[in-house]
Amino acid sequence: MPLTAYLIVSAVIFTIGVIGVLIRRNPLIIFMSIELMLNAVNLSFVALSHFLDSVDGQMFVFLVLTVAAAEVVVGLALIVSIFRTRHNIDVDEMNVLRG
Amino acid sequence: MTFEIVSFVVLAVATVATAIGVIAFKNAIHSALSLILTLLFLALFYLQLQAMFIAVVQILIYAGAIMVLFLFVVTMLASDQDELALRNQIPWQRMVGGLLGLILVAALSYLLFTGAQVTGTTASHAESLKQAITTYQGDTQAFGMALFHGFLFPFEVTSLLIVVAILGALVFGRRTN
Amino acid sequence: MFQLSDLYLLAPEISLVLLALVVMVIDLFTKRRIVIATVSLVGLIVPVGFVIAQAVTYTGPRTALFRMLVVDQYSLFFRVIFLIIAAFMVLASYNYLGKYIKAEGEFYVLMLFSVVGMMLMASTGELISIYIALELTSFPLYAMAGLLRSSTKSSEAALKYVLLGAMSSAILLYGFALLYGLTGTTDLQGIAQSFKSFGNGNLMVIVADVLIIAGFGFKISAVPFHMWAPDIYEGAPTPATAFFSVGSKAAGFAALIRILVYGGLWQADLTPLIVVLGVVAVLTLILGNFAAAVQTNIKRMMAYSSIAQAGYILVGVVATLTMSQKNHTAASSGIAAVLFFILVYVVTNLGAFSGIIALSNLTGGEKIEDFRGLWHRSPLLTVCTSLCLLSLAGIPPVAGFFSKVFIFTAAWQLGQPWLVIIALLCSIVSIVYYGRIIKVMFFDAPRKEERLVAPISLSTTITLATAALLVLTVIVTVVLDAANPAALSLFASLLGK
Repeated sequence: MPLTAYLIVSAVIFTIGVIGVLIRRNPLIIFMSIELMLNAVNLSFVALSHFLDSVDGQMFVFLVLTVAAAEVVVGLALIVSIFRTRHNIDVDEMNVLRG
Repeated sequence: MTFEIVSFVVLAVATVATAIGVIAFKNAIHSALSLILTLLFLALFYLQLQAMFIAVVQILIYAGAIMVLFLFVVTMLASDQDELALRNQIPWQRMVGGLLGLILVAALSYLLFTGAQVTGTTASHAESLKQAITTYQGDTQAFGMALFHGFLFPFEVTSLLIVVAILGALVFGRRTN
Repeated sequence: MFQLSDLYLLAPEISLVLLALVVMVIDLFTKRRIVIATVSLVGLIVPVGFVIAQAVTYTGPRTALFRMLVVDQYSLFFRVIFLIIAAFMVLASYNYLGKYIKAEGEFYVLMLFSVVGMMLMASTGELISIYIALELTSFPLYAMAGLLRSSTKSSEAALKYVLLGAMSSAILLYGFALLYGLTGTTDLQGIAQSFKSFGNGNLMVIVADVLIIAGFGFKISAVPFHMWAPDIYEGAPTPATAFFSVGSKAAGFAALIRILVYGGLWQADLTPLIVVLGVVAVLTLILGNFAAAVQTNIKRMMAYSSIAQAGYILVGVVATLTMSQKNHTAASSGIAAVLFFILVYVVTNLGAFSGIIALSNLTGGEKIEDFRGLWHRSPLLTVCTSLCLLSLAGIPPVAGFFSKVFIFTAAWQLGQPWLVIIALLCSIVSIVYYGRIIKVMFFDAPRKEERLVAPISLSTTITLATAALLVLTVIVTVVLDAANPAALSLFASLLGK
């Protein structure tokens, strides 16, 4: 298959990710859309690395993977913490009402 | 050759379909499952492109670790999805988003059909990848050589990144008194 | 080749990482803020020493680790800027941390790690390293935005920052992928070499550049990508806001200019790109200045003001790109003006922010009207803050005036008169809103009469910032003497061969 074919698949997935970021409101799904974008870029890199006959592109993919994992850790920790503070507030209010 | 084309087309359609699923499903759990499928299909793409190591890592880290974390959080917060919704949404944002997306797809595919060209020859750091794959029966050795030799610097900086990520998770995860 | 002596080039960063780790460990054993802050501040002497030693001994660019690490005058200039930011941040945040945030140690550690990332962003010459350094800069910022645990606004700001940052780096990566596809290498010097043959406009080059600029556009909050910047700035703890407004912006520009100029992208025909970038600069200027003029919350006003300042810097960048192909020396004067502008902006904005932190800490409000009549209640703080605001507005006697003059003359000479005229008109608007705060502080009747006594660390910070500003005003030529070779050093590797 020619390089262009892979690049177009990658462009389509990237675009789907961008649309997801723009139209979805749930931060978790926005996060998943961003993962789609990153993976589209990774596909480009692997395809380019194959056709350029160089390992540099794969290096990019590997490190992007690592960064993405770290990003998910920070982002999800934040989402959980937001959820927990809001939840806690609710619980406190209930206590006030009962007391 | 025909097998290659058929497998590519099937994979491409499957990947795009599951990717659309990620952003189209109402339920975040379905989105996450769809994303896992997308990632697996991408790993198959990598295999087709002879990037064994990346394909394995993709399944292990992405589909295995990252998505498990996602699913964990999604199921944990399943009942409170609406509370988390961000504010400041403009009503026509959906339409504009879709339109922009279409334009972007058109523009990008036009460009890729007309303008894509590869001018570089080989990497600055490693020997020819194809040669390495035939010599070592896989790209893992070439990959390792490049990672711990030419790309040592970014690799080492990644370790700092992970320390910071742990610290960030710790800051957010700690209970407030 | 890797030699142990190469590590000396990295010494400032390595010592800063060690300092961050030491602070982290100390934080485990003692929760006394004074100890942590003192260690951070004193520890900064080591990287500062290394940078000074390198600046004195190195006359030409040095590269190490397969050209991934580039220590030239340009990166040294930015290392100095980032270390200044770190020192100011330790001082300026000291009181705020004690009052609002219970995680002092973490704040300092995150801040130091972020500064390491910024320094690396300015001194790497390779795309993967730039990406990793960028993420190392951003991660701590996300965490810092959400440090006010009890405030939902702060958490929401952090969430927006994470999503926006992740998306922008994905866009940036796509640009990098195209660049890699075009040239077959991730090494900026290699890219510069292969761009020698890209004479007539290849559309892919423009697309790659646009994606890269869009990716950095989020970091420097240029206009179509500024959407959430005011929300993030308002919700985050004020010292963190000060840090975002100077650090992430300076680092973004450092890496962007490094890629565009050192990466030799200017060798291709960039006319469409220059038009796009010019439009972005104009929009940034107009929106930043006019939106700042109507704000009532001072943090939001400063957010828009920092968007506007990014517009002035973009004018310089555009001017440089216009001229690079024809005349390197002339084009480098544009970069020199940009470097000088960034340095002055960093000092002034930190000063203005520490003034705002102090005053809003004392008055307990963040609205502009809360600042009424502060001249009668705290003269020193008011005078210093006003000087910084005057410099931001570009009023003649202060350094901000010179930085604007340099950028405008450079842009005019490099053939962008229209941009200069628009920028001039916008800076007249900026006088209105900076002047309004000064008027409120000096001439309006105070709400209460009693004197405000600022905590010692904050009054030191703002006095230091104002002093630094005045010193900068006096030694303009000295700084320019440092900025010019820094700007030229970006072209050096290409012209040397």
